[in-house]
Amino acid sequence: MPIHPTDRHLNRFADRDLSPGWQALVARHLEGCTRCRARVMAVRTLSREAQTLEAPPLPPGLRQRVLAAAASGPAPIIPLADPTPRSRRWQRLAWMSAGAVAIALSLRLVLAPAVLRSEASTLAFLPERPAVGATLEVTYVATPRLAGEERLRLRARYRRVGDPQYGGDIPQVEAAILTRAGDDTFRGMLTLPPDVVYAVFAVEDEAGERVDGRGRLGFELLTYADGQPSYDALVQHAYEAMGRDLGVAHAAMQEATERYPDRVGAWNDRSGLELEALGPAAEDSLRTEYLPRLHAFDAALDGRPVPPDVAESMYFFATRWGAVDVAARWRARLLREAPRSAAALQLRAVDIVLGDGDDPARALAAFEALWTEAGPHRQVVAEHAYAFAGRARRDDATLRWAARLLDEEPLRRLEVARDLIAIPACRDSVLAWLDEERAALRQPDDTRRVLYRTVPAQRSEDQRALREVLALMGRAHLAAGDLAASIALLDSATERGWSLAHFETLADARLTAGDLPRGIDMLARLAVDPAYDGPDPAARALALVPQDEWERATHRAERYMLDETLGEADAIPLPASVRVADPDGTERDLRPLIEGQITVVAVFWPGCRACYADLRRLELAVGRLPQPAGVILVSTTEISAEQLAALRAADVSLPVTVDARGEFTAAVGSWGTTEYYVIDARGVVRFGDTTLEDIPREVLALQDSGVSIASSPATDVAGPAGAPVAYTAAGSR
Amino acid sequence: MTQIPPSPEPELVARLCAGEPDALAQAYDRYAAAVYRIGYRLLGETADAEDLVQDVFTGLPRAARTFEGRSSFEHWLRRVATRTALMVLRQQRVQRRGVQRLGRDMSRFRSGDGPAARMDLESALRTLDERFRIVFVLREVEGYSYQEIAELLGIGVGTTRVRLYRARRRLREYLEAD
Repeated sequence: MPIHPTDRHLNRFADRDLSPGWQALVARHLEGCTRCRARVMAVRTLSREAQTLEAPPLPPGLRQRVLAAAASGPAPIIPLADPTPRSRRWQRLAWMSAGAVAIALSLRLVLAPAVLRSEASTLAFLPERPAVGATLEVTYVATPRLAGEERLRLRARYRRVGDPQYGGDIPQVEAAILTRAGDDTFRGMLTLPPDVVYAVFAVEDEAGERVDGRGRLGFELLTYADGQPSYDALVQHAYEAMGRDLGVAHAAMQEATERYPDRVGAWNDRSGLELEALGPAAEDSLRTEYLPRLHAFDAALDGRPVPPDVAESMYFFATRWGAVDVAARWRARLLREAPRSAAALQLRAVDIVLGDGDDPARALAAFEALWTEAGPHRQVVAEHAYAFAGRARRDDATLRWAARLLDEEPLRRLEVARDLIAIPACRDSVLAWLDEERAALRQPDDTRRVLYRTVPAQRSEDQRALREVLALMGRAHLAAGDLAASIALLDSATERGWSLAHFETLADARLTAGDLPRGIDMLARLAVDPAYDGPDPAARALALVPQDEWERATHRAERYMLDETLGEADAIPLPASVRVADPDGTERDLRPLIEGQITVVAVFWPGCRACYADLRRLELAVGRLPQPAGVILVSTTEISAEQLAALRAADVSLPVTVDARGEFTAAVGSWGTTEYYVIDARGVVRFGDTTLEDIPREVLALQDSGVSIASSPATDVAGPAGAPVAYTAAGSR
Repeated sequence: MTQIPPSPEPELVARLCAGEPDALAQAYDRYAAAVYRIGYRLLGETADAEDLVQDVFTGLPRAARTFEGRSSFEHWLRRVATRTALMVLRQQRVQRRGVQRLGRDMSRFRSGDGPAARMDLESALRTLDERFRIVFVLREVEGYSYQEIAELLGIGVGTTRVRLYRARRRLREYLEAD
């Protein structure tokens, strides 16, 4: 999972309250991040709902009362001035004096990369400093998990000039096949595509069931020019790392500014990363540091012809640091000299909303005009017009712009369908898009499988997506009153795995249709899942069927839940020793901390304060389980005393360790934060990268099946050390 | 070219300042619903909202003399009503009782079409701390900018952002938990 913008940034993004640079940065992130898009959408939905809140009607007698009071009595004093805000100037002065030192110290703390990464595997290239388009000899020294294979697959994510930050839509490709050349050494050849400047790799077995992605970072390759990493390679390196590790992204961008100090884009991005890392408290000091550089660039470039990306960087750099006059000049240049660049189109779209936002018809006409002239970046226009039409509740326009947006970005079908499914006028189109999505999911596309994900995990992910598509279609039919079609689709969705939301909808649909037995079965599934906290299913069921019938239904549901859950279980044994560190740096072995009971391990990045709420939810969820289970937090970087205090202040009292050597993340194949792993009492990872909703059920299933008892017979770890092992559900209930 | 009809506001303001009873009635007919809504959302009870309407409109002939035409009259009047409601909250310490009173009063109210989500939001709003609820209402219901809210409440823009963020987060948690 990538490093996400904070919830506050997402809120401000939803309000269009960020500077244009940040607005664009977050927009790019949203292109590849369903989670953050959902959060932005939630803010906007809340706004829409709030705007429709009504007050009771004016009482009929009030008018007469007011007019009579005005005619007879003395007028009350009503306040006409706003209160005076308290001054905060002293705080700014205090900060300014300590600014420069604080930046250096804070960046070291906040951006400290994970140290002493595991050297269990290596991927080397010859030549070591390849040019663009080079042919490379690849040597891979495998981890024990892959060492027994004859052939391995090298998969890559190639980045080209102009690829975006995060870049969730960049495809993954097979780059080479590596064959065994020694005990644990594999070799192969690879020719870089001619326009690729940076690549990140992972190695996997041929079936794609075991992946070595070097922990969260993958194996990287930069292209070189004139004996040093090319500017574009460094930028793409930073853009790729933004999705996973802010520290690595900053280091790459810092290197870009040091090697190529005359590139304003790198300075702009670097300053943005520092602001992101240090937060608003550092804004004044960073401004003091970066404004002189901005003015130097401005003086050097003013009046000279520059490419669009330079004008764009100058505008965003000036805007970010509050140089209003400079920003206005570069904005004008950008609009004049590159009016169809993505940045200019975004500014023009925002201008439409700001200028004509009160007159939707006029604004939509302006968007139409912009669309016809937009050129290759017209998805920017579609994005803004779609959002505007939705806010203005112009259903026909929303539908039209949604269709255009999906023409440009078909991977957003599900997201758009989710947005529009409640609008009756959009229902037919939504169903058609969902049908396309369903067809696409039935023909798996390996380019969409991210590097760290195994083939079975992708299959499971596709099933999950398919389940959601079917359920959405079912809900659309339900809203249209077609109960039979709805039930058929929802049945199909629930057959593809455990989902509380789908069970809930199907229970309603079946009971509405008068199908009591199967409606009760759905209620029973809700009742047995410890994560379900909705209206009491038992109360509803017992109003419809006798007690013994309900008990039989819950027994069936328990067995089904156990089978479904354990059927999805992994079996990845942790190595005999996994070194982690206490927050004070004292090293220890993780295994004694987790053995003897089922343990949930959360891999988190302490720099993401917004994620602390999820850790709190995890603590509460596990605390509510009928039998105790362990929970441990594993930080991907060193954790500062201040971060630890913030974690405790967020009511997270769970023990914290640091993956100082990267051994845990390497062992479980973790790629990002926040991720959760359910590990059984023998140190076997049973559920990898799972979700908060699934964890209680998974822990319960393991406890019920008996694997939580450390002394139980080792029927579930029968494989050789280091190899995946078979798992047999005991089904004790 | 389409001619935009002249705004009737300047004439109405002039007549209000002159103390014409008809002007006050006209202003009431045009703006009372907006003032009432502000009072209801901020003070939480219909009785307080009615008092607010009475205070604002009986004070309007005098207050209108300070209207300088830098915004629309309606916008100015809504700010006056908001300030008055906030003053009521401060002076009478309504905020201490606001949550309970709001709970009682809002539960009587049912909105029109698509009521389920709105009722959820109504319920969720009831649970919010007064500071957060005021910022949320001013922003999302009344449509004020961060800067305007900061000015109205005498707080910084940053504080406004934080309060709005917390309000939304708590509402979301409430609605998701529901």
